[in-house]
Amino acid sequence: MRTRNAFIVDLNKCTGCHACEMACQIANDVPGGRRWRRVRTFNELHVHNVEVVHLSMACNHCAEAPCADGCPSRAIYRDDTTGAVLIDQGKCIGCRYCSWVCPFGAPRFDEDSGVMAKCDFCVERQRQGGSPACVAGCPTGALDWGDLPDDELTTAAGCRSVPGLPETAAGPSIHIVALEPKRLSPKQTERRSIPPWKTLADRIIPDITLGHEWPLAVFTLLISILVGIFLGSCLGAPAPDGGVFLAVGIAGLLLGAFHLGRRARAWRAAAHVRRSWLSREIVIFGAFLVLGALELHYGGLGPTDRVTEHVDLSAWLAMACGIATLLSVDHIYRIANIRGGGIFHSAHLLGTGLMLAAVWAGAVAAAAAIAGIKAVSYWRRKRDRGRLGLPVRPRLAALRLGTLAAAGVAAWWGAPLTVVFVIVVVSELIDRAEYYDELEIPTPESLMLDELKIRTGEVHHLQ
Amino acid sequence: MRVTIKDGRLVAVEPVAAEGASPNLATPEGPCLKGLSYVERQHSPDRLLFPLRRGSDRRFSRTTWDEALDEIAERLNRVRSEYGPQAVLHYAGSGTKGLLNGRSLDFWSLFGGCTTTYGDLCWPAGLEATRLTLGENKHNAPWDFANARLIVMWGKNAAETNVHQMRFVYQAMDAGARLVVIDPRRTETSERAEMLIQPKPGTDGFLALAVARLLIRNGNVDSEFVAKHVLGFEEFVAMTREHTVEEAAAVCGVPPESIAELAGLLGTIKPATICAGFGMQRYTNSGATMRALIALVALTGNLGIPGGGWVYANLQTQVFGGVRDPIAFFPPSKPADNVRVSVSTARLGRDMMAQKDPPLRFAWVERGNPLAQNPETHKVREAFRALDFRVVVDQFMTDTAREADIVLPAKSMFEQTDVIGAYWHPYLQLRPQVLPCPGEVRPETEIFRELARRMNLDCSKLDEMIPGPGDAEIRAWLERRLKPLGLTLEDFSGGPVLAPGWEEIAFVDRIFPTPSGKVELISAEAAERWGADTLPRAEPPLESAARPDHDPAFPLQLLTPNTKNRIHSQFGNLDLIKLHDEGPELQIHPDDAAARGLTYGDRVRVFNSRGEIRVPVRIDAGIRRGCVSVTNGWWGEQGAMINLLSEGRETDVAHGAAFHDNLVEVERL
Repeated sequence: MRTRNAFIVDLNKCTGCHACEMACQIANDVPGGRRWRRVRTFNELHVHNVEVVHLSMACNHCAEAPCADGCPSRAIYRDDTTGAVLIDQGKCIGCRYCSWVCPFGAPRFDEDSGVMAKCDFCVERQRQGGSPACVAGCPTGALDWGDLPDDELTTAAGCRSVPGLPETAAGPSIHIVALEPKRLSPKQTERRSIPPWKTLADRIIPDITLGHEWPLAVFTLLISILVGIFLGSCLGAPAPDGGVFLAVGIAGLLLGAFHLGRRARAWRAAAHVRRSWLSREIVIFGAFLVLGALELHYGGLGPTDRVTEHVDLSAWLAMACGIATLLSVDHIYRIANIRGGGIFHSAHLLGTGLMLAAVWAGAVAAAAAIAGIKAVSYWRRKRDRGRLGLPVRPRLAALRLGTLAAAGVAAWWGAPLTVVFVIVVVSELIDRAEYYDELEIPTPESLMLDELKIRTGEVHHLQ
Repeated sequence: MRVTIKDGRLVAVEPVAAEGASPNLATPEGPCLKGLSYVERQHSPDRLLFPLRRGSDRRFSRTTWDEALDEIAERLNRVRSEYGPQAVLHYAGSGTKGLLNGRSLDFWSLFGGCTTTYGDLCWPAGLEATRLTLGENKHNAPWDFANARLIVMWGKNAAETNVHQMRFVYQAMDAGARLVVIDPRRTETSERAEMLIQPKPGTDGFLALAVARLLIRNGNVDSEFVAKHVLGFEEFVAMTREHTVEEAAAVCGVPPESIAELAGLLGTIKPATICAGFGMQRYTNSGATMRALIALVALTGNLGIPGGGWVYANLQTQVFGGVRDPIAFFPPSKPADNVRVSVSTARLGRDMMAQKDPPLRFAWVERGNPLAQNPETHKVREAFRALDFRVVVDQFMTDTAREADIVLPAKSMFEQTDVIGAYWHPYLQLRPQVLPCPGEVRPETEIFRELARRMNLDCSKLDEMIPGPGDAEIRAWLERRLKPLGLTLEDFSGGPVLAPGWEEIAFVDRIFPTPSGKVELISAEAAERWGADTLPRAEPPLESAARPDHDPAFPLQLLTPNTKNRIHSQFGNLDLIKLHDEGPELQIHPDDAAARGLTYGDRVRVFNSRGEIRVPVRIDAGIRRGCVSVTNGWWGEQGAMINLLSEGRETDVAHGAAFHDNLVEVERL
C-alpha cells in the first residue's frame, strides 16, 4: 500500500501545553509571535458533560492540497522527498487565497514579508534525519510523525468527528487518534451551568473583513458594472467610449492588486490558469477588457459590424468573456460561507451583472424581475441571520431595499437611464459591502464554537 | 535537558533520551514551555547586564562594579558598626538551585552574621505532614506511576505543573488504571479522569476522613499492614466517627454518593497512588489535611509497593546537606553563632518591621522576588522601603529589584557549572557552564568574594567556602562535595546520575523513620513541635467560605494556582510566554459572574480588606461556584500583584504560607 509522511496526533494524550507551538516558533524562527502550528481548544469554557479537546495542528500537507490548486501565482508546490507542501515565497503575491481555501487555517499572511507562510514540515530537519521540531518538543508523546499507509490516515468522515475539523476531500496527511469513549469528560460533583455564548463568539477574529478586502469588493462590483454596460450596449443601449472602458477596467485591476501583499508581483496572479480560478478570473477578465474595448472602439456594436459587415463574432466573444468573468468570480467565493439566505445569494455577481445589463439596455421588466429575486433572497438572508442571533443592520437593509425600489420607481417615472443605473449601483454596493463583511471562511475555531453550541442544545442546526 | 549553542547563542533545548548509558527515564519526551523558552530568557534584551544604581529621582542608571561594590561594602560596614551584623537581612528564594547557590550564607557568617528567614513559601506543610506520618519525604520513581491501577490526583494539576508526570498517568490508564481528580477547578489533569470531585477549598481533610470512615466501615482496611506498620489506628478510627459522611459532605459541598464512590475505588483497587498537589497545603489547616490524606494510603496498605503510595515530594536527591527539608526550613533549635533566624517567610513584611535589637537596616535579596511572591505585598513593600539600603541580585528588573538601591546582574544557569538535584525524579545532574556571562554579569560567588576582599573579612577560609572564578576551581570544589558520596564529575559525563541510596519503590523495606518506626496516624511530635492535634482532626481553614462565621462581605474563595506558562514570577516577561498568557485574568463561574452582572472580558476589581487588583474576567463553567482564581506570580507591570490580597499567615505546621486562606469580593469596574 502507498504510504505518506504524516503527523500523528493522539487526542488522549494532549494536555494543551502548547510546547509544540513554541518548539516550532523557536526552531523555525517564526517571527513576531505568528504561529505555524496552533493548539486549538474545544470547550475552553468547560461546559459540563462536553469533553475538552486540544487539537494541535499545523499544515497537513494534503494529498490534494487546495492551497496549491487555488494559488494563482503557482507558488505552492510539493517537496518530493518529504511530501511536504511548500510555499515558494519568491513567487507568492500575498493574495491570501490559500488561507481561504485551506480547511485547517494553515497558511497565514506574514505582515513583514507580504507573503504567505506556513509549516514546512521541518523539511531541513527531516533531510538531516531529525524529526519536526513540534514532535521533538511534545512532552507527553501526544504528537508524533511517520510514514503511514494511506488507510491509517484520518478519512474525511473521521475529520468531521473531531471538533474543529470539516469534512474535507483534501486528503490531509494526518492520523488523529480519537478520544477513547471512557476518557471524554469527567463526571463532576458540581451542577451543570451553560455559560453565555455571545461574547465568546465575538472573540473569534474572522479571516475576511471588509476593512481589509474593500478593494476586492469595489473591484468585483466594477467588473459587474463593466460587464453590465457592455452587455447592455450590445443590446442596443448607448455604448461608452472604448478607451474609457479600458481605463476603468485597468483601474479596477490595479485596485484589485491593491490588497496584495506583494503588488509588484501582481502579474503572477495569472500564472496558474490550469487550476486556479483566481488566475482564470484575471485572464478571462483581461480578455473581456481587451475584446470589449476593441469592439467598442472599432466595432459597431450590434448585430452587424460597420467595418467587416459580418454578424459580429467579436462582440459575442467579448460578451461570453464578460459572463464567464462573472461566473468565475462567483466560483472563487464558493469556498466562503455566508450564514442565512440559502444557496442563491443576493450578492452573486452574475445576478448583478445581468441586472445592470438590463437596466442599461432599458429592459425594465427583465431588470425588475432580477431585482425582485435579489430583494427576496436579501430579505431571507436578513431573516435567517436574525434567527441565528447575528447582526441584521436594519437601517442598512432598509437603504439597500429602498434604493432598489427607488430605482424601479425612477424607471417607472421615466428618469434618465444613467440615474436609474447609478441608484442600482449604489444599492448593489451596499449589498456587496455587507457580503464581504458577512463572508466567513469556516475555520477550526468557528467550527469548534458551532459544535459546542450544538452539543449544548443552544442551537440545533447551523447552516 | 540537552542544549545547543550556535555562534555563542543558546538555540535549542531538548530532552536527554531514555536510551543510552545514562538514560533519562523521567522526562525523555519534550521539555515544558519554560524549558523551551530559555532560548529567549538567556538572550533577552531585558536581561540585566550591568550593575544599576538608583538615583535621587528614583530612576536607575548604569554604574560600575567598583562603584557598586564599594558602596555596598561601605554601607555594610556602617550598618555593622552602628547596629551590628544582624541588622542585615539576607533573603534568598529558590530561583536558581544548585550546590554553589547555597553558598551565600557562608559569606554572611564571614561578615559576622545576619538575620535570615525561616519557613518556606512553597510546600512545607505537606513535607512536614509526610515527615510526621511516614518519617521521610520520598516516593516511588516517577515511572512507577505507570504501575498504579488507581490514581487519585488530589489537588494536583500535573498537566500544568508537572507535565511529564502525565505521560505516566496515561501509560497507567492505557494499562487499565482508573483516574480520579479532586480539585475545585476542572483542570487539564481532570479532563481524562472518570470523576472530578470539587470540594470547597480547604475542606479536603473532611473529605479524606469521610473516605477513611467508609473504608473502615466497608472492611476495606489492609489489617495486616495496619497491624504491623501503623501507629494510632484505634484512635484514628474513633476520630473518624466524630463526623458522619453526610456531615462531611455538607462541609465539603459534594454529594455523599461521590465520597462513597471514591471510598469504593480506594477500598477495592490496588495498587493505588494518591498524588497530592501543593496548593492544598497552603491553608491554615494544611498539616492536618495532608496527614488525613496520607492516612488513606496507609489504611489501604498502599505503601512500599509498586504502583502504590503517597506521591508528594521526592527528596532523595537531597544528599549533600546535613538536614533535608522540611527540617531545613525551621528555625534551628541551636542557632548558629551569629545568624538570627527570626523572620517568617510567610509574614515577611510585618516580621521585618518587628525586628528589634537590632532593627533591620539593610536587605540583600537573591534568587527571589518577595514583592511578587510573599503574602501581603503592601507590608513587604513597606518593610523594604523602611530600610536604609537594599541590594537585589537578579537577572531581570522584577518588582523587588525596582525597590532596590543597587541591582546586581545575576548569572543564568548556563553561565556557571553546578550540580543540581530535583523534587520529583531521583537524578542528580551536572549543569556545566556552556556560555560565558554576558555583559558585565558576574556569578554570585564572585560578587561575594569581591565584597569579602573589599571589607577585609578573614579570607583565609574563603576559597574553601566559596570557589574562585575559573571553571576548573568550580569543578574542583564540586568534586570535593561529590567525593563523600562516592561520585566524581566524570560520572555525569553521559547524563543524569541516580542519587546514591535512592529507592525505586519508596519504603519497600517497610522501614518508616518516625519515632515509633511505624506510619504515625497519631503523632506526639505534631503536638510537641507545633502544638497541633496528635490526630489529623479536620477543621476548616481560618479564612474560608467553609466557615459559617466568615465575613459575608467577602464571599468568594480566591485560589492563586500555578500555571504551565510560568514558574511563579519567572518567565512571564518573555515574549514566547506572553504569546500564550497575555496577562492575569480572573476565572469565575458563570453563575457567580451573572450574579455580579459580569460577562467575558469585563474588567473587575477583586478586593478584600487588605487590598485590590484589577483584572479582566474569564468565564469558566469548570470552576466551583463560590471560588475564583487568578494564577500567581504576575508582576505589577504585568497587571496584578496577587499578594496584595493575601494575608501573612503561617500554615498550622512547618511555617508554610497560607496564601489560600483568602476571601474576596468581585465587582465590575
